[in-house]
Amino acid sequence: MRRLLCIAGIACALAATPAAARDFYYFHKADVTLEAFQRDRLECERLMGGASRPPQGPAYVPNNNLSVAQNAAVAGIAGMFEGMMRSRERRRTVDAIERTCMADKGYHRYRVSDELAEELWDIDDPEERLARYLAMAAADEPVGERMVE
Amino acid sequence: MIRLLLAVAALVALPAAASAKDRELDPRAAYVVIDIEDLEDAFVKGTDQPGEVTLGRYDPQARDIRGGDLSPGTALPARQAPRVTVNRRAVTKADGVRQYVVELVPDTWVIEGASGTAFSLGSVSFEIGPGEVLDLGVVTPRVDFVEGEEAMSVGDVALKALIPFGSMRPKNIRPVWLERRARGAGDLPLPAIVGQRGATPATFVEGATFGNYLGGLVNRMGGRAERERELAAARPAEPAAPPATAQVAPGTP
Repeated sequence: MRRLLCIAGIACALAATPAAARDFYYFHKADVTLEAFQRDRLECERLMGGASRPPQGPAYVPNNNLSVAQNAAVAGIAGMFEGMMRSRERRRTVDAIERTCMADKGYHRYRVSDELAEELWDIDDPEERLARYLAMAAADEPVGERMVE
Repeated sequence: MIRLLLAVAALVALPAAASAKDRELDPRAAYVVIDIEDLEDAFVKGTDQPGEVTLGRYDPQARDIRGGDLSPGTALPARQAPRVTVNRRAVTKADGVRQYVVELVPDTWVIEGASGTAFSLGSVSFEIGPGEVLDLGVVTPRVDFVEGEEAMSVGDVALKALIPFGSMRPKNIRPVWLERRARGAGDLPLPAIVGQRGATPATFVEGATFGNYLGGLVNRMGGRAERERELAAARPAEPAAPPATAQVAPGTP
């Protein structure tokens, strides 16, 4: 339940392009109940958990012209960047699964302002945060701009 | 010289004969015939790659792949895989389509995914018994673009490449859906190795759902269009408008 409360906050997706800002969004379905929302989220989370990391491979092939220490340093830097890229790829896949799955259950995605997102994140009480989020998710009229799936 | 040429020809023919013998169907085993059309690339228009389809062994009671999270009790012995990916050893290749004959363990199977997308949100299952040969028909994997999205032309890609620090990649990655149809007159005929046994068109059961075990994106097999149809059917019907009163024009008999 605690995990659900955490993920029930405003979802945040890092856009693919470096120039793009972060997108804050939530999923809306008019008149959805708490039970239905929880069920839908858990089902989608199960599918999101199936996203795997790309196969691991050597990030750096040692160069014979460098010393062992230099090779180790370069390999470390290469590994760090490779890890960041892989992590970002997996994040993209997980986000795409979430969007497809929630859309399949009848939810639409709406962008919210940075200010509103910050306001929601600042709510310390998870129950209160969930209630606020659910009020947005199940409202008759959604707030914000509708985003593509 | 002629003897030498004959010997070389015989040596060349040997592996081919052995390979053909390997492809003879075991009368006790179960097989499916499936034609998979190419997948058009999601990034650049006009670049195709061979499509691939994954079939999984399905537990219809627990509604999951055998051994999956919802069906741990049906896990298979270590040497048996719960799925078969169909993308190698095509028996026939034609323009944009490859035909496969795949041996399956008699069981309930599901079309688990295609070209990296798992159809966890809704797919079809079929049963196959010992000695049966089923025809799964012709399938075409397609990228499930949202309205207004499409693959870029080569020119668009070249223009985009000129933008400094611009990303070449689409912002959103899209899953694949699978168009399925029964084998028709314009399609490849059943392969010769099926021979006298022939192949029975498979009977599919709709509504199979399961976990995401392919590691990539998820979708319904029928894609966004199928989902929209289902959601529209589930919506409460609008109150029907009162029937228009028939008006008779003056002077009409």
